[in-house]
Amino acid sequence: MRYGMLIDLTACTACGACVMACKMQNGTQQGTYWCTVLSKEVGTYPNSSKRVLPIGCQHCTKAPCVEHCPTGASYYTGDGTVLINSEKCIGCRLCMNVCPYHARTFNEADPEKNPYFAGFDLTPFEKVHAADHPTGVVEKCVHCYERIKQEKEPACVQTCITKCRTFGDLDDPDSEISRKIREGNAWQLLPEYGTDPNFYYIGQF
Amino acid sequence: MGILKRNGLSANGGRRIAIVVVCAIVLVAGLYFYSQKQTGVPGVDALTPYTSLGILMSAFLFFEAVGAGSLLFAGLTDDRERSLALSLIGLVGVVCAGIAVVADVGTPLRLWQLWITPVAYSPIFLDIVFMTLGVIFAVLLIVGLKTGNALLVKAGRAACGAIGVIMPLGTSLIFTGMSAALGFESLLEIAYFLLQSVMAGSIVSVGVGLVRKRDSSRERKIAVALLACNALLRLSEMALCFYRTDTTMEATKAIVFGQYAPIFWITLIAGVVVPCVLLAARKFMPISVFLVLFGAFGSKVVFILKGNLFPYIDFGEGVRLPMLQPPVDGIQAIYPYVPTVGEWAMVAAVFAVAVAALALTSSIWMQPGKSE
Repeated sequence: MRYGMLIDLTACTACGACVMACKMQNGTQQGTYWCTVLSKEVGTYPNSSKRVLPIGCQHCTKAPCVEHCPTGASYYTGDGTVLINSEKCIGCRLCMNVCPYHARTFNEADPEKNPYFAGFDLTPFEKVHAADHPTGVVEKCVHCYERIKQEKEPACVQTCITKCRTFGDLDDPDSEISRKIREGNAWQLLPEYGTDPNFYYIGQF
Repeated sequence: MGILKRNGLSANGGRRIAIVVVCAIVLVAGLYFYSQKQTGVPGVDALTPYTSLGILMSAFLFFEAVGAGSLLFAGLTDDRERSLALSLIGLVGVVCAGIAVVADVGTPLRLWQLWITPVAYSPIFLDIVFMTLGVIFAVLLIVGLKTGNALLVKAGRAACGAIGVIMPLGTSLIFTGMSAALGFESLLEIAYFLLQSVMAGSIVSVGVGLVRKRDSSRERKIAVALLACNALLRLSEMALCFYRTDTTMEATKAIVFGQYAPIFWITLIAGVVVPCVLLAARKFMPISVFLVLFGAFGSKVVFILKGNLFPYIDFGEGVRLPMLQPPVDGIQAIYPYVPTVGEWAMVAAVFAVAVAALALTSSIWMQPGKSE
C-alpha cells in the first residue's frame, strides 16, 4: 500500500475549494495553508493563458525533510505518507528549508493568541482545533490521515468540484490513480531534486 | 574586596561592573522578547514560511565562526597567554552560538534529544558533535594552561586546532545541503565558512595581542591575506553574475544588486576592504579589529538573506503566491525580511552574554599557571 495523489491540471479551475476544505478539516492557523493553489500567466496577449498548480506536501518517497530531521520527528508511515510527530519536533525549521516544495509551516503563534478575526475571541471551531496545532513546531499536510484510515478520501479530494484530484494506492496497478497516471503521462514536480513524490500531475503548468 | 583585588577587579572593576550591568539590562530585554516568543505571542519575529531563517541564525553562524577560529589559533600558537585567552574566547563563542540556536528553535526544552536520541544521518548531528567537542576541548586546554599540565596542554592544543577547522565545515554542510534553498547551493559557501572562521580567529588573535600589548604581526599578516581572499571571492562571485544568466544566480544577483545590496556593499567595504587596508598599513588597529568582526557578522546576515530569496524560482517566471510580492520584473520575490525589535533584542542579548562572560573572566583567565 502506497497512498498517492494525482491532480489533473487540465480540469482544475483554481476555485480554491480544496484550500477551504483543508482549512475546515484541519483548522489550520491564520496564514497557514497545507494546501494552496499557485497560478501564473503565460504568453502575451492575445495568445496568453493562465495556468494553475494546486500544491501541498508531496509525501516524497525520498523526503529531504525526513532525511534532515535531527530528532526523527518527520517520519515515513510506510504507506506513502510523511507525517510529523509534534512531540519530537524541536522547531529548528531545517525541514522547511530543505523542502523544495515549501510545503511546511512553522507554528509561531499560540492559536489562542492569534484568532482569525483580530479583536474577537476564538470561534468555537477554532477552539476545537487549537490543541491540534501546538506552538513552536512545524506542520504540514497529513493526507487527512485520520480520514484515510477510515477509508475516506482526504478532504481536498472529496470536495473538489471538478474531480481533478484522484487519491488511491500507487502500488496497485489496477487502481484508478495508477491507471490515470499511466494513461495521462503524469509527471512529478521538480524531479531534479530526487525526492520521488507520491504526488502526480497531468497537464501543463 | 580581597577577592576583587585577587581577581584584578579593583583596577578596572568600575568599568567591568558597568559593562556587566549594561549587558544584564540588554539580556533582560532579550529574555522578555524570548519569553514572548516562547509563549506564542504573534509578531515577535518577522519569519514566515518563505523566510524561515533570520538574524538569530546569523548570530549563531557569527559566534561559531569566532569560536572555531579562536580555538584554531589557540591550538596553533606557542604563546601560552595568547592560547589561554583564545581558548576562553573560543569557548565563549561556541557557547554563545549554542545560546543563539536555543533562542531560535521553537521548543528548546526538547533539545536534549539531539544528544540522547540523535538521528545520526541528519547533518545537524555533525554540528552537535563538533560543537560539543569544541566546548570539551576548550575546557581541557584552559584547565591544562591554568594547572600547568603539559600533557593536557599538548592534547588540548591539538584537539582545539583540529576542531577549529572541522566545526565550520560541519555547519557549512548543513546549509549547502539545503538543496531547496538556492542561495546556499554554491559549494563555494563551504570555502567561505572555513575562510571566515580562520579570518575571525586571526583577527581575535590580533585583538588579544593589542589588549596584551604583544606582537601580532604573524596573525595580522594572516588576517590581511584572508581578508583579501574574502574580498576577491566576493568580487568574483559578483562578476559571475554578468556571465551566468541561469536562475541559480538570481539569489546572488538580488544580494549584490537588489533590495539587500546596501547590506552586501557596506559589509564588503566597511567589513572587509577597509580593515584589510588598515591592517596592512598598521593603522587604527583596534578599529580594524572591530570592523572585521562587524564584517563577519554582516557576511553571515547576507548569507542567511541569500538563502531566503526566490524559493519558487524553479516553477518559472510569473508564478504568483498570495503571500509574496507581485512580480515586478518577471520573478516573484519574497517581501524583504526586516528583523523585528524582538529579534534584534534577542541577538543583542546573545552578544551581551558573550561580552559579559569575557568581561567577568578576563582578569581571572588571562593569567596562566606558572609552569607548563
